Amino acid sequence: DVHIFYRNSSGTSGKKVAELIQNWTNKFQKNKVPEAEDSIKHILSSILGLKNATHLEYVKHQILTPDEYQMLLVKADLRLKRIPVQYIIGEWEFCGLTLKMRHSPSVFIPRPETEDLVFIVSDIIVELMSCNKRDKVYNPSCFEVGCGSGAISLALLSKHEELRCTAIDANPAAVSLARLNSEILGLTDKVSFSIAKLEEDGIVGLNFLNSTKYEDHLALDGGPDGTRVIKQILRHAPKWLREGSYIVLEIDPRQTKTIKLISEECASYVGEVDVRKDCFGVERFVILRCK
Amino acid sequence: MNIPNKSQIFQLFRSCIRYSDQLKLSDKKLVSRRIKEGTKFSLQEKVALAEKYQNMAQKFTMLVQSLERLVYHTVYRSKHTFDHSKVPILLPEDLEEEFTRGSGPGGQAVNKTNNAVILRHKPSGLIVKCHQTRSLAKNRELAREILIQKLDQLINGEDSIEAQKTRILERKSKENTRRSEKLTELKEKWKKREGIE
Repeated sequence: DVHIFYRNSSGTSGKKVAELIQNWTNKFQKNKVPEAEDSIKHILSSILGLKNATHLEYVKHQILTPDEYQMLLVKADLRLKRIPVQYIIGEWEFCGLTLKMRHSPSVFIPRPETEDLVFIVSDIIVELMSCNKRDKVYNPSCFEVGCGSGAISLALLSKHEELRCTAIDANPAAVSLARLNSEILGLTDKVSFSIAKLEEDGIVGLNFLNSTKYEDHLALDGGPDGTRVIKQILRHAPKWLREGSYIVLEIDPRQTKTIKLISEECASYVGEVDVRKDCFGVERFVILRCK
Repeated sequence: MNIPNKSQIFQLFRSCIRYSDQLKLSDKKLVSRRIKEGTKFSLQEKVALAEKYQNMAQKFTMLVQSLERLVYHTVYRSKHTFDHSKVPILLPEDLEEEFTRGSGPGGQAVNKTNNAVILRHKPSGLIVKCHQTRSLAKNRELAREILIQKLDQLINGEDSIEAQKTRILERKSKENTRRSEKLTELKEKWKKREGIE
């Protein structure tokens, strides 16, 4: 085992990966940066072009080039400013897909809980498609409100060949990022992203919505908008959806009561609101079926 | 069972004649006489012929099917088939999962990058830790695959998929060394014959 040590005369001392991890972990911890060790590992593995932080084990004796070291300084500094790692490295994984992330203007980073949403919707799609085989009616389609980086729609499309998705977001940066991700994943012909906003009486900016009826479900990330959007969806969405469609929402457990009340008020839904827990045991999702 | 109609009998007659034209060793006159005799018969004989025809058709179909199966297996079969019959199945009630959670009221508002999964199998006591990808869902999937592999090796030992693979690899490497040794042996012999170069 041969270790090559060298000191660059310009002052940037070439350092081994293992040392850098240790040094920066300490520095982040001193600055109370959350997830200090994971942060530096993700940043380093991204700079070195590795698929994941675990691969750093294999290169722990590698020494960074001056360019790589410069990039590390820039990125570590961003992390000291508490900028999320996903924005610093410009990408993240969701349901096995690698998606680009955008920081300015910022687009919502997909959360691991949302992967459970994808599984729930996926099961519903399978159920609807098995019914379809008997009647041979429609291909499943999905409408997403607040697509962000496009994570949910793209994950669903990668799992189901016949699915077609439409997704909207009020943030133009989100829509352009989602389109970019769909191009990278080769799913552009199965999904359409548009800039549109949910208003009291409908969706502004989406022309064709009134003429087509969507079969399946709305997937919403509760996110920063909170209850306002959820209320709008519950009150108006059944008008736009076919009979028997599903609405699946990702929410905060404190919202379940309100949701149950509104759904009863509207009388557009079949049966009870189905509340599901995420992998952390928190009530995170509600499923409603339209009349 | 269908009784052949006149046109079917006529077709049979014609195909027999065509067949007989190919024959090189038979007496053609005799053959054509026999064909003519054979294609005029009573109703009972017609019925018997239909049955025979049907049996032959069935036998032929079965032969074609078995040939197809043979071809399919030869073309699409992987070189080494593994015995998956003993591979264990994971029951949800036997599993316990643990992941790091974000702090905060709902837990979702906080962004976290650590998506490591610890999967415990209660009956056997096996523990798998997986943080191979940045996606929690993918790590959960991989953890289960690794657990099945480990459980398979624990329970089935020699019959596990991994053991089967190792045996095949050992056999291949033995065969390779045997071949390369034989090749060097032959080369030496040739060198001796031709004179040392």
